[in-house]
Amino acid sequence: MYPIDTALEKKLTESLHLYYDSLRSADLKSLRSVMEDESYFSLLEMMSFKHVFHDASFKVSLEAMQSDALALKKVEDAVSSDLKKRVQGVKIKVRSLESKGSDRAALHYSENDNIKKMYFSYSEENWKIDSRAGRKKL
Amino acid sequence: MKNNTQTNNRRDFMKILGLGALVSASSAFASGGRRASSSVTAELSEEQKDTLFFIFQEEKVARDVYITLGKMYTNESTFANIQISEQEHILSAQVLCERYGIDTSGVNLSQEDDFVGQLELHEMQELYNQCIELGQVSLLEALKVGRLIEVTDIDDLERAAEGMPSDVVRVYESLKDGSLNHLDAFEKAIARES
Repeated sequence: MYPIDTALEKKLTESLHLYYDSLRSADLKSLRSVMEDESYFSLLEMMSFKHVFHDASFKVSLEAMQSDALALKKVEDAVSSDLKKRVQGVKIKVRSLESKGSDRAALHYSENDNIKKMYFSYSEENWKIDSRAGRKKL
Repeated sequence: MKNNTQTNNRRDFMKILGLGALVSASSAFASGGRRASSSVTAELSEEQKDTLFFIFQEEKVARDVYITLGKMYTNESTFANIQISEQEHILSAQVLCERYGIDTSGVNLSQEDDFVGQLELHEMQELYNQCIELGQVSLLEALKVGRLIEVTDIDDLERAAEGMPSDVVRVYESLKDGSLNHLDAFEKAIARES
């Protein structure tokens, strides 16, 4: 059990800011560094929805991206290009840290005054953003 | 058997539409990366419980997309009709979570205006935003968004059911049947609008 304390909150807050900074700067390498791989791929899929909608061939790259470097590059290039076109300026304010069990935590925060939360899990001696870690492990 | 036949027919239908490959390409609406094991177990593994909870959270995205698109296109009843069914999907997924001791109380499912379209998880917000961005172009595009949501949902539920206990599979089969009905409704609406 890891203590839910100010040190952990500080660490996860830094990761959260890095996550948003990476999105703002379209730096997917940096983005991936703070995320579990599966969550990173899941995020790419969700951010690629419109490409699948418009381009049938894009789905092939999505399907292959976890094992095919070229496919991953195509997806990342598309997502990165989208991110660069965005109007930026997200204001993040961390509100609280919640334990989700021995190796999980949720950071509650606001994004431009909208209530949000980010799940984290601990593995390989590191805390990473993990979208599948929302369930409290008993 | 009837359901299987129906599903196969719909699968063929989707292939004809060119959506068959799409179905297997994107897991944007459900199970994501972690796959359940192929063996049937009496108890859920930690990963299977995570899948249950993730799908429960994700059901809100589709409902909120339909609520929002329904407000944009008030003369098109398909969105309003399906959003009611999507709310039932959410409740089914919630019951399933609670049956396996998964606490769902932290997920805000409010349908009040201030909460519709406000997804607490960033990646789900991204998905919602893209659906609305695409759907606001025209009614026809909005209906196509609905079709893609349902096609994706069907595939994700099939994958999520792999290795799950029979009670989970039954719920997911029921949800999938609902999605097949939604898919039909969107197809008919698209044909009318085209």
